[in-house]
Amino acid sequence: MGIIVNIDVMLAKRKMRSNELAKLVGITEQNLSILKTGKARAIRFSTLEAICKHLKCTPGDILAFEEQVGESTMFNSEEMASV
Amino acid sequence: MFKDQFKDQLFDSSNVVDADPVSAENTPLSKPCGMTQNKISQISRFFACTFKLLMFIYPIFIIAYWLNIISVPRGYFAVSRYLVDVDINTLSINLRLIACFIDMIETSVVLMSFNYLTKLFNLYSENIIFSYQNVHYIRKLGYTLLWQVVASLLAQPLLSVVLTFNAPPGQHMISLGIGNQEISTLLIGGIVILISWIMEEGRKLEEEKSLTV
Repeated sequence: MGIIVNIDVMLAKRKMRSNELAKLVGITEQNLSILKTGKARAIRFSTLEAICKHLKCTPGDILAFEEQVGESTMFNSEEMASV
Repeated sequence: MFKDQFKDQLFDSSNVVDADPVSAENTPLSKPCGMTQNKISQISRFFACTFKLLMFIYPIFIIAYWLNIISVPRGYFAVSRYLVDVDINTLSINLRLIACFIDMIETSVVLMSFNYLTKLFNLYSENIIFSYQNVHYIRKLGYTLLWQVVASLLAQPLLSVVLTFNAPPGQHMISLGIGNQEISTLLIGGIVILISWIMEEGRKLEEEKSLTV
């Protein structure tokens, strides 16, 4: 899974629509959709700053990390081998 | 290191004049803007039309030549293409039809390259520069140029037999040669294939750029 973007949760809390946020941040709705659906490869600090500013939150509120299933399995098998 | 330099040039938005710095950074640098966009679009449209027209004119010219509908200075066509200097007026209509059919081997490969060029320039005219399709057509064009040499090497001996069919005994020929034209075409084909690999790197950078928010 990797980095998860939880903009929808913050949008609901602030009662804001996606297109409103996109306009305030200065990106297209398509780019915001790419971000929400997890297809984005990178996010600029300036964009992240603008999102946090308009949603009145911190980066930790909208970004989360989930370990990928494959990586954790490999890590465990390496641990097992060293025992 | 070269890739990093190239990447910096691609993503450098310092030349973009925009009142709003956030929207300037979000300007799609992958698509050329302003005057460059117009120039690329216009010139590409011209080339797309030209190659599309050539797709019809070239085979008609070849057929018209072999059927003696149009005349070319004697020796010009034969010497430059088929290594045999024969006046085609001395050939019967059947032999000329066979020669025309054999010539179509190489002509069909040339038409394929015109087709790929037309499609490529159509994409450029819509300012689509680094898409998967662009890379695909450039690669196909490169391989088509290589196949053109193979087709030429197949057609040459067959044509020389046909062209010297009516020659007096002792003057029948089978000719096969690799000259400047074939070597140039091979080199250009190789270079075009290399360019397709470079464009593939550009496509990956473009994709990464388009998925950067």
